[in-house]
Amino acid sequence: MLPVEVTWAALCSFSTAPRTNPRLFVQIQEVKVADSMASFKAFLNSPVGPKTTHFWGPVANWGFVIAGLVDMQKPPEMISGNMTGAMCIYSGLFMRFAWMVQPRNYLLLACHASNESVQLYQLSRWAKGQGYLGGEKKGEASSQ
Amino acid sequence: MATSKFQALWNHPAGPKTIHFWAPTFKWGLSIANIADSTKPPEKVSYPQQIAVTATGVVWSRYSTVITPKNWNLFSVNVALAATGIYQLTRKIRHDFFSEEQAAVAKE
Repeated sequence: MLPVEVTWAALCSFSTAPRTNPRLFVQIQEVKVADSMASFKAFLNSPVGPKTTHFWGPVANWGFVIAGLVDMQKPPEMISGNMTGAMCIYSGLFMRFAWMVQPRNYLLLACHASNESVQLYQLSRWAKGQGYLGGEKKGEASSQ
Repeated sequence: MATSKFQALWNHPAGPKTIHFWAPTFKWGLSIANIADSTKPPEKVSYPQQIAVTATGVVWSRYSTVITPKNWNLFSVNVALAATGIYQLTRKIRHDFFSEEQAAVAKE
């Protein structure tokens, strides 16, 4: 039997044989690993993969998201309204940019969608701290 | 002649009617926000944010010269972003690590 036939037989008999036949079980696991390796390799060589600038630029932009998440723990007085407001507009524009650019860059889109959420939340915290959204300046906590 | 040149720019696939123009152009807003914040006290500067700003500026400056076509607009905006990020970081580091002795003496 050719290796392909053995593998196909292994797949077809998945529900009945593999645990009693160690060689078939191992073949099935190898097929699964080979499939995931193949798709990983496809990603590595894709036009928006880690060998290209289309990948590492967006990776750098995830720094904004991480910085925003870390800064959520800080008191609102530490937030810069200028920077956070600029980030909200910036990420909004770049979500559209990531969608329209060739090749379409889903990583960049995900990055800026996340950043938009984080920065809007930080902006609301800053605004409440400044008294713009009806919260007291350094006053009681507003209800959710 | 001038009209057609203007129209050529206006209708360019990466021109002012498209996101390919406004997104990188708006990135200047981040640098301007950082410059506006340069007068704020160093205690209010956020390390994670300024490190992210500097890293983004540096990485994108490099890549804007590697892509085809080279995008000098993107290069300049990211150089400015890296510069303002580094400035804010040096302000904060100076304040945190190099004026401790003065603050300790003042508190006594």
